[in-house]
Amino acid sequence: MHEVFVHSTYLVTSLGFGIRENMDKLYHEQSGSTLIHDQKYSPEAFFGSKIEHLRFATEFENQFPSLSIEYTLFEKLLLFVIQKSIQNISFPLNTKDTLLIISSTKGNIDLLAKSERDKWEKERIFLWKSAEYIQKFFKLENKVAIISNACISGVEAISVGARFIRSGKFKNVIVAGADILSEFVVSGFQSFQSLSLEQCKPFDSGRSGLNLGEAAAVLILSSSENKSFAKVLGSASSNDANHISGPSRSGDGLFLAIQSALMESEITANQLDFISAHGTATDYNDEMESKALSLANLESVPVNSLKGYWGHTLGAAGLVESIVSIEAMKENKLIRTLGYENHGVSKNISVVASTKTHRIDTFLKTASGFGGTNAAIIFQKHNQHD
Amino acid sequence: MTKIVKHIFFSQDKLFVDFQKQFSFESNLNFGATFKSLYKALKLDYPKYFKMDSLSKLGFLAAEILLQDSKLRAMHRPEKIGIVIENSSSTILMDTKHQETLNNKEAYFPSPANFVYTLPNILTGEICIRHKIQGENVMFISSKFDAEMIATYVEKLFDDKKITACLAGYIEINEENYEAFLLLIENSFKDPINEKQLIDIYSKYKNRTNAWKN
Repeated sequence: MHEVFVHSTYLVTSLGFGIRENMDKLYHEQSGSTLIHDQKYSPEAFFGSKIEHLRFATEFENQFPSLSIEYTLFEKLLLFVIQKSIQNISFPLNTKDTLLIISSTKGNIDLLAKSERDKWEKERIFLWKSAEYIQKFFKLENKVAIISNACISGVEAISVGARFIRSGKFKNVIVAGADILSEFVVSGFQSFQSLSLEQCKPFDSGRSGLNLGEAAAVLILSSSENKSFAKVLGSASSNDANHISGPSRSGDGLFLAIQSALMESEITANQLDFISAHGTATDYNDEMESKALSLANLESVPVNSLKGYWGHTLGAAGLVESIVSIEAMKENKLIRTLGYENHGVSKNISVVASTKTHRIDTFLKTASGFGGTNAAIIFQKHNQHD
Repeated sequence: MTKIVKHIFFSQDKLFVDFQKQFSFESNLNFGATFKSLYKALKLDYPKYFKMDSLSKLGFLAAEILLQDSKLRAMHRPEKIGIVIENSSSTILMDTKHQETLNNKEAYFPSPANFVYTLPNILTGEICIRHKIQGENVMFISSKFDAEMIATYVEKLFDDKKITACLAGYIEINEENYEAFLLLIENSFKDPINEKQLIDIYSKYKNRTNAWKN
């Protein structure tokens, strides 16, 4: 069985472009979320996290000065992050050995709006159509795989990519994810009354809902060990089989995924040094997660949520949070759960309340989403001996 | 090692189980009415069905037929049953409906009951609730049925001992048509399932429904 190594990563979030900018802002505990008054997204103001669009347009233009095809914002974000990440890779990617996986919940959903509908071909609304354009752009040999599994999409895309490498089917997998802010998604979460009107507060007693965000990110997996700084040990997904729009009350679904990921990794709960949770700051999600972590005997392991920095970035969330946590593992840092002050979940989990140095060799990333779906993945530091 | 225990195909008003025609519906019905007739024919009593969008209804009905008289729950632990589904148009019908509630700023009424069905994996969630499936679950998007993806991924899940049984297939609905192709796969001493097997079964169904049409 092949081992799975993590290679180049790149991300664009409301905090900035690339790993360094994002890490610097995270260490300085800066949030990219603000109150957004923009009719484009919603008749009412909401608290959310937007990529700096003007800067993105400029940087995109610099990266790709003469394009013959017009791309949507969602596609541009994917093109940009993929291009940035493959620049650092020494092995060729346009071969039969490489697969691109795209993770997104809603892709080009903004094209459904009246103002956009006539500008693009009808099929452009579909994720597979965006994927075809991206495949063509990078001259990739294989058809792109697409995962759209609600809020676990990002974690699951890494998990599926790792399995394809382990099985020997592919040597390299580029895992790319993106979701953008749109009226479609903002209005939907508003109708659920799950958007907070202030900075979100994961695991806090005063939490009042989530902040939506937009982001794009890439993580390259390979069976090649050379220059890798982390590896994927194991992963799993599970389903609550309980309710489509509310998480399980007991946390048993997420617990099953954690247990299965630990088993595959051949480690026990006490070998985890840190947990990057989903922590959306809705009442039910955070409570469910605390129960799942408790069931898995993980109450004493430091756990954070990064949603206070860039909101919930949906299909990109699992990727951006994994990428940043891998970097923090490399630097042996625990990043504070921004927004958390007073413990507000029933189990005594160890929420990281201040950013500090902490030895991290192995960590767990989890995600949960609509449809009762959960995912867990375990990463380990990889020290090169050469 | 795995084997295909059973498969169903439902499209163009015809429903087949293991290549045998089980139901056919009047071709002048819209698909909503066809699904309703099937629900009645199956003598189901599951009030949640009526809240579902058409993608979930299609997947739900396909799973009902596939798992009729099945010993799935007696033979496998919930966390060892997986569900691996592909679809092309995601939730385009419900997406359009949700978008319509936003177009008129004077009558802006997005509904949570619609919005939740704008995620394609809600269909897998509905099947998991109905049949108590708690294992690996994934929704792939593909322009058409991709046998290679299903065969490779499902076989890997069995290989890794993540699952001992799996529902896998292609559930698609859009403005023009619907298609449900669903297989029940279980571990056994036989050879692993492969892409060619899936393509053969699928093409046989496609040829048959096309022949019916003409």
